[in-house]
Amino acid sequence: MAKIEPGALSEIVAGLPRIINDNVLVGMDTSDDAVVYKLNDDIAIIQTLDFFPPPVDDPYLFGQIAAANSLSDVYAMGGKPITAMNIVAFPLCALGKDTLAEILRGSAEKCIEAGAVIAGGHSIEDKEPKFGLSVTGIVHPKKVLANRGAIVGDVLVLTKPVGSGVLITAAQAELFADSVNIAYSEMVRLNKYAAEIMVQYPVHACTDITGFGLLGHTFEMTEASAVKVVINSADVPILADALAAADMGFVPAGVYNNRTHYTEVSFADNVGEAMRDVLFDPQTSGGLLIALAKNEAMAMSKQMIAAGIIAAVVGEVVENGNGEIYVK
Amino acid sequence: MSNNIDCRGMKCPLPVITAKKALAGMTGSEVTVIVDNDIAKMNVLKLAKSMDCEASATQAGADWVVTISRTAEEATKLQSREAAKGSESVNVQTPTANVYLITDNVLGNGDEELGKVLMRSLLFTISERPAPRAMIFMNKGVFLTCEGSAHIETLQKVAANGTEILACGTCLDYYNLKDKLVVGEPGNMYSALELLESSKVVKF
Repeated sequence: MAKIEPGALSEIVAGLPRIINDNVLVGMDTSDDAVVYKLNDDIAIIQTLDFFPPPVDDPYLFGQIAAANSLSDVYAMGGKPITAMNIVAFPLCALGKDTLAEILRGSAEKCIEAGAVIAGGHSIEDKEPKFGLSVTGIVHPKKVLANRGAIVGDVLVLTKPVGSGVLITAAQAELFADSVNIAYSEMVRLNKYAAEIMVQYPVHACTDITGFGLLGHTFEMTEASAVKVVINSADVPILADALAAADMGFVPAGVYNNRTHYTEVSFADNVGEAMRDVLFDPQTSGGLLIALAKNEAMAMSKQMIAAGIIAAVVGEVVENGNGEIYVK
Repeated sequence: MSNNIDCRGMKCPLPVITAKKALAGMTGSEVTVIVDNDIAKMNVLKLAKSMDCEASATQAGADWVVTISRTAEEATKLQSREAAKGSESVNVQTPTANVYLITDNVLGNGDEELGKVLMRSLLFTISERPAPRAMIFMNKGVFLTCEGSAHIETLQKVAANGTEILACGTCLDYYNLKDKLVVGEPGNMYSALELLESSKVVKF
């Protein structure tokens, strides 16, 4: 949703002064979504923020999705969220206090579920509503996970299905209502549960799937890790009717931006257009993408599946490289 | 409804929604859709293709004119299909939204030859009846969708009627059929389960 397209963003931040600080364990140079700052040998803090316009009409659902999405960045880095603050841009006269209260209730409930303290926030009047959170988490400095670190022989495990972007677009045509509801329930699901299992395993790299789609975020990982990955499209969990929605042209602009930007991704001829679109589909509050050794991945997936989490091995790190992704 | 629709100034996905309505109610053989951006143009082209129409786009200044056409025969077929889909989209899953799960290349456990004959009869009958929402092929069932199957034409007819055909990716892998899939798309257990859970399932 509403992300500034990746090409433009890289250009814009390229001109900024580089920050060199030994305590910064993860910064901007590997396209991660959070900063990790080492406080001492035992604790590093993870700081992150995310906000966006409502992808859904229901304000309570919007609050839940926004919170699950913002908390996810902390989970993706192997951390635990401890505090959170709301970021609110809202037309109070047009939409009313009750609507905002519902957004905040959704957010608060998710933060409680995550075990994070929600400690206020900041609000401004705006014509279009936008909402999100800034989340702070903690992690052991030696157990920080990032885009960087995937190695040859690793497989990639994905913990939520993709396709919510096209389904939400199709929802505006009142199509596929049942599948859209499943998409919503996936979006409000915290990555906490997957992360709690993940940290029990020797994971090499992790990210969460959001605006750049599965393949865009996979590329952030392969590039930072200097490897080449093969993604097996038939193994990627896809929400029911997402391919049908893409085939009918309910394809959000983000898909086109992502497909244009990530030129390192190539497809086998038999991978259809709808599949390509869905693999680049921007996700809001998507799943974790986890790189670890194959045998460990099998054990981890088994444990996740037993806990009711989708854990699909979607690809493999095949050789060292420059971030190339081949989708078959 | 006019056969020329102006979708300039509309935000995604409104051009697709508007074009879809126009196509469903289309009386002539051609509809033109004017859009003011590249993404709307590409999405309307996708829509046309998914509705089995011919479509092309030409640039007109800053805008795009997408011309969508089809033969009278296709128009009638499409209208009846859209009418069927329309009732589904209002109530999304009507109880008649069947999904057929086929886990073997023969029907039943008795004599193999009889099983083959029954399978042929089953698939043929399905192709002659109202299109099910989806057909899911698993285990040896995937052979029916691949090169060498005697039922390709029948299944292609079912697919052309709007049925989603899913062949289990793991099974295709296991039987070395990955490059031999002719009808339908490879799918995984997750998408299969989503379909199975949200529909009336008939297992063969």
